[in-house]
Amino acid sequence: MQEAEPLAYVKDLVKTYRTESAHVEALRGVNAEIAAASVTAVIGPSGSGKSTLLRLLAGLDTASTGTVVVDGHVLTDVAPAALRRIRQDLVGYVFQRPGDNFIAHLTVAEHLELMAKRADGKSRLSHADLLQHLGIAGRSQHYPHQLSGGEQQRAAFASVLSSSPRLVVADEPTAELDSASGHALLELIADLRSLGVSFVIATHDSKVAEMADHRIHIDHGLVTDQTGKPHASQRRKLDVQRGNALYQPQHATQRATQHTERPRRATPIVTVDEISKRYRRGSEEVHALDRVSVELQPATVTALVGPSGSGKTTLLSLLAGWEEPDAGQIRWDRGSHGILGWREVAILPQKHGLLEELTIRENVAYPARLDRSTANEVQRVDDLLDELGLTELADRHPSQTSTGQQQRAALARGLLLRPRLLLADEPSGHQDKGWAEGVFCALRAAANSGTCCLVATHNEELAARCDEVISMRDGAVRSVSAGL
Amino acid sequence: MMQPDELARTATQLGENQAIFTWQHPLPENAELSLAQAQDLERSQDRLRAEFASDDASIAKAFRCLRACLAGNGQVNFGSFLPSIVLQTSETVAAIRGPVELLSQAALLVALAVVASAGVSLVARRATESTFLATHGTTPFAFALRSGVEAVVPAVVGTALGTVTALAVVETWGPGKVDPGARAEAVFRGAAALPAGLLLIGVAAGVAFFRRSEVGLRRLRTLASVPWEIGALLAAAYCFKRIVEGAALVPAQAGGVSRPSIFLLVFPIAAIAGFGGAAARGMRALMRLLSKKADRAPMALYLATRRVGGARRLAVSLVTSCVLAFGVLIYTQVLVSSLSTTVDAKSHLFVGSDLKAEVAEGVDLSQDGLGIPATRITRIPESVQLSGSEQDVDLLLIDPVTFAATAYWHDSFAGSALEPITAALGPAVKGVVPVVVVGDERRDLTMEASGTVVPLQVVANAASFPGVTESGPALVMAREAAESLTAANGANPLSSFVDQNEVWFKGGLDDINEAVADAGLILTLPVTADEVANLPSIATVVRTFRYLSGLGAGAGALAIVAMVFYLQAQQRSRTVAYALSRRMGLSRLKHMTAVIVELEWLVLGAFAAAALLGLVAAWVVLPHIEPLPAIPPEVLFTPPIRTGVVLGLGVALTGVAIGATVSRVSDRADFAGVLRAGG
Repeated sequence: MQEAEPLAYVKDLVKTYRTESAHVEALRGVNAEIAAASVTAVIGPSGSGKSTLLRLLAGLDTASTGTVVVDGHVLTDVAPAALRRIRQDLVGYVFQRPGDNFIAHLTVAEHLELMAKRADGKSRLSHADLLQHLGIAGRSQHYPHQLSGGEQQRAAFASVLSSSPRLVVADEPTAELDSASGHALLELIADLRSLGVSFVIATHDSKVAEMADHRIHIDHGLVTDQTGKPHASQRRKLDVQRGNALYQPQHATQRATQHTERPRRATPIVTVDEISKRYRRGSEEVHALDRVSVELQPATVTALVGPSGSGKTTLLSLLAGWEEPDAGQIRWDRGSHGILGWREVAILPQKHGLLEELTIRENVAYPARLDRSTANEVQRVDDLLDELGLTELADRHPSQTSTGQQQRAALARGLLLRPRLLLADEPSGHQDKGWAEGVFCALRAAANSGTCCLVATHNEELAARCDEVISMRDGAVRSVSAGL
Repeated sequence: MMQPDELARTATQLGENQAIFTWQHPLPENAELSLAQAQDLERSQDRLRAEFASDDASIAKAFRCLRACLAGNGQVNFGSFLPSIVLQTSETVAAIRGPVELLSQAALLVALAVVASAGVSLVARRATESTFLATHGTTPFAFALRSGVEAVVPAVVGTALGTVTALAVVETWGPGKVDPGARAEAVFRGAAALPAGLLLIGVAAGVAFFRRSEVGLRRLRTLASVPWEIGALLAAAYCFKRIVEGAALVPAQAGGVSRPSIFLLVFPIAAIAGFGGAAARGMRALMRLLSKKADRAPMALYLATRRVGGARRLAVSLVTSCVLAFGVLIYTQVLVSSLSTTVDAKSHLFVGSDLKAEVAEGVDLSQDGLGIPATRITRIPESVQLSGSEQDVDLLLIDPVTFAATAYWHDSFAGSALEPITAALGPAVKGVVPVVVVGDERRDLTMEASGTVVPLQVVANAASFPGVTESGPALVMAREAAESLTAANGANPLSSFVDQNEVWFKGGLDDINEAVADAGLILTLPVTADEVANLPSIATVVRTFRYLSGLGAGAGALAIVAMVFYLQAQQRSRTVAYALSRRMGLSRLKHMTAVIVELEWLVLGAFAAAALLGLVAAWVVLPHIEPLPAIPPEVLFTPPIRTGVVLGLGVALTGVAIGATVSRVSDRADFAGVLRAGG
C-alpha cells in the first residue's frame, strides 16, 4: 500500500472496443495507483489490456466508464484544452512502435528542441546529457529513418524526457533494445526517478520488472496482483474463452523441450563465407557486415545476438536473398540459386508483414494456399494456432489483436510448411515471459523436425538455451559458442 | 464639308428644297466593338435622338432653322441597326452567361471539395505525425494554422497556374478574345480565392485532426454514429421540393433568358452523394459476404475480395467520391442527350421537317423532281369538332405518298413507325374517312364540319404529330379524302374555312437551298428547325448541362487520381507483406491481377452505382426543366447508351493500366531497406 498520495490512480476503469466483427472488453474494472517518483511496471500477457491502461493514463483515449486521475486532474472529466496542457506539461507518452514517436522531417535534436519548447524550456537534463546517457549522442543530427529500431526507441525516450514531464508512460520501451541499450535506458530511468519523475512501463522485460518499485499484474482486463515487492511471475490456468490464453507448458509438445540426437558434423544447409555488405543511410555509408562467416546446421536453433546496429538484420536479409553481398558468398547445400521458396527459407521479420485483409487463421494458412497444399495442412494450421495460443483469435484480423499475438501468428505462418531454414528477427520481442517460453518451444519443436532456426534476439535467456550462439558486434562475428 | 448655315444658303441658291444630313458617330480605332462599347454607342444614339426631339438642344434648333430655310418641309429620320444588334448580342451573352455562372458555382463547389479533401488527406497521409502531435498536446487550431501555412506555396503556384491556363484556354478556343476587364477580374478573383482556399485547408485539416483526438472521439462519437448520408439526402429532398415547386429554371436579369437554378446542380450532387455513400458501404458489406464464399477462388480473386471487404473508411470515401463524380457526369450527359433530343423533336415537330415555307401551287414536289424529300401540307385551324366535344380542333391535310419520307417522326409519338400510319390514310371508303387522331385516345369518333357529320376510321392515335403544335386534339387525313367530302348541299363542308398551305423540306440547309434554286422555286417565310432549337431560352439550358458534364468528367478524373494515390499508399503499407508473399509463392502476375481486380471492384462498382443514380436523378428532374412546354412532345428521356458504354470501357481500361502500374511500383520497392528501417 502507498503511504504517500499517489501521483495517479484509476478507479473502476472499463474500456470496451467495438469493431465491425468483434466486441473487445480491454479493461473490465481496473483499480490501480501510481506512486510519485517511482517506476511502476505493468505486466501481463499479450492482449491483457496493458497498452489500453497506459493510453488511458496518458489521456490518449476515452474510458467507457470509470475514472482516471493524474496529479489531481480528472482526465475523464477535464476540458479539452486542459487535457492538452496536461499532455504537454505533465504526461509524456512513448509509443510501442518506435517509428510512431517521430515527425519524419525533424532530426533527433529538433525533436528534443520541439518538446523542450512545449515545456517552456525547463528540462531536468540537458539535451546533450540525455543523448549521451542513451548512447545516441552521435545521432542527434540524423532523421528518424536513419536510425535503427533500437536507436529510435532511445531517441523517443530522449524526446519525451526533454519536456520534463512528471509522469512518463512507455509501452514496452525495451522490447527492441539489446541488453546494453536496455540497461542504459533503465539507468536513466532510475536517475530520473530520483529527480522526481514517475514512470509507468508496460513490459515483458524481467529487468524492468525487477527494478520497478511497484508492479501491476493485469490479465483479461483485470488487475490480478498489485505489489511493491519483487515476486516471481505467477502462472495460473485461466478461462481462455476470451482468447487471451496464458501460455501453459502443456501447450508444447513433449519433444519440443528436448534436443534430438543429431550428427555433430552434419552438412550445413547454408554456408556464409566472408560476406561483406555496405549500404547508404542518407549521406552516411554504413558498413553493415565485415567478412562474416557462419555455418548453419539443420535441425538446430541458433541465436544471433549483438547490440543494435551490429548487423544481425542485414545478415538475415542476405540469407533471405533480398540483397546481395558486396563480397563473399552464400552457399546452399543443394546448390540452390536465386530466391528460395517458403519451404526452403521462411522468414519472420520484425515488421511481421501479416496481411490485414486476412484473418489470423487465413494468414497462418496463407503459405499453404500459395503452395496449393491447403488441404494437406488444415490440421497443421489448427495445431500451430493451438500451440501458440491463437485459436480463439483465429477469426480476428491482425489489427484486432495485440502486437505479441501478431508476432506469434507470423511465427506460425513461418513454421507452417516446415521450412528447412527459418529466419526469425526478434520473435519474442513482444512476448511476456510465459509466451517467450512458448515461442522458444515452438522453435525447438520445429528444429526437432529438421528445421534450422536462426533467431536474432536480445533475449539473453532465450539465446542461452539455443544450440549455438553467434555473437556479433560492429558488423563482424565476435564469437560462436554452444548454448546450454 | 461646310457649316450648316452655309449649306442652307448654297442649297437655296441651287434651288434644292431637300437635303439629307447624315451624321456618323466616330468609331473606335479598332474594328471590333465589345458589347460594352456597343452599348455606350447606343446610349450616345439615344442622347442624340433625344436632342433632336427636344426644344432646347442646339442641334434641334439648327434643324428647325433648316426646315424653315427649306420651306418648312424638313423631316428628321434617325435610323440605326445598332439597337437590334445590341439586343441580339445581349440575349446571346445572357444565354452564355447563365450556364457559365452556374458552371462557375459548380466549379467553386468542386474546388472547395478538392481543397477540403487536401486538408483531410494531409492528416491521413501524415497519420503518424498527427498522432504524435496530438499526443503531445498540439491543439487543432495550431495544427490547422500549420497546415494552412504549409499550403501557401502550392496554393499560390496552383492559383497562378490555374488562372493562366484558364485565360489561355479562352484565348485559344474562344468563345472570343478575353476582354481586358475580364482578365483583370480573373486575376482578382484568383487572388481573392487564395486566402479562402488556405483557410479551408486549415479548417479541414484541423477538423480531421480533432476527430483523431480522444476529445474528438468523445464528443463526436454520437454525431459520428449518424451516417452523413442522411444529411445529404435531406438536402437533396429540399432541392427536389424546390424544383417541383417551379424553381428549376430562373429568369436571368438581362434579355429575359432563363437558366438552370442552383437547385438543379445541388440536387444531383446531394442525392448521388447520399445514395452513393450508402452504396459504397453496401458494396463493402457485399464483398465481405462474397469473400467468405471465395475460399476456393483463385488467389487473385481471393485477395481482391478480402481487400475490398476489409476496406477502411478512406477507401469507402474514395468510392463515394467516384460515385459522385461519375454520377454527376452521367446525370448531365443524360440531361444533355434528353434535352437535345426533346428540343430537336419539338423544333422539328413545330416545323414539321427541317424547313417549312410557303411555295406556289403546282410545283412538282416529288423527290425525282426536286432531288430532296418534300411534301405539301394544308392546315385548317379550328375547323372541325370531334364527337363528344364542342371544342374546335385543327385539321391537317397531308399527301400520304410524300409525307412519311419528309416529316420528322419519333416512334414514341404513336408507338410505331410513320410509314404504316400514312399508308393507311387515303380516300374515304363508303363515306368513312381514315384519320389519325392526335391528342385523343378514342377510337370511335365522328367529326362535324359546318354541320356535316363525317364518320371516321381511326387508323392511329398519336400523342404528337408533325405540324400539330397546339396541345389540344387534332385530326390528320389525306388531302384527297378532305377534297372529296360533300355536305348535304353538295358543297365541301371545309370550303368555308381559311387554310394555310406550306411545303416541308427535308435535308441540310445547303442541300435544300440548292434544290430549291435548281427547281426555280421561291420560298416565302422559311422557318428552319434549327432556328427554333437555337432560341437562347432553349440553348441556355442545354449548354449549361453540356458544360457541367465537362466538369463531371474533370471531377471523375480527379476521383481516379485520388484512387491512384490511395492504391499507392496501400501498396506502400503492404511492402513487407508483399515481399513475404512473393517468397511464399505469389507471382508478380497474380499480385498484379489482385491489384487490378481490387481497383476494378472499386471503380467499376462506383461507375455502376453512378450510372444508376445518375439516370434516376435525371429522370426525376427532366419533367421540371422541359423546354418549350407548350409545344409537343413531352420531354423524351434519352440516355446516351453509346457514351455510357464507351465511358464504362474507358474506366475499366484505366483501372487495368493503373493497377498494372501500381503493381510494378511494388516490385521495385527496396524490401531490404524497408525491413532494415524497422530494426
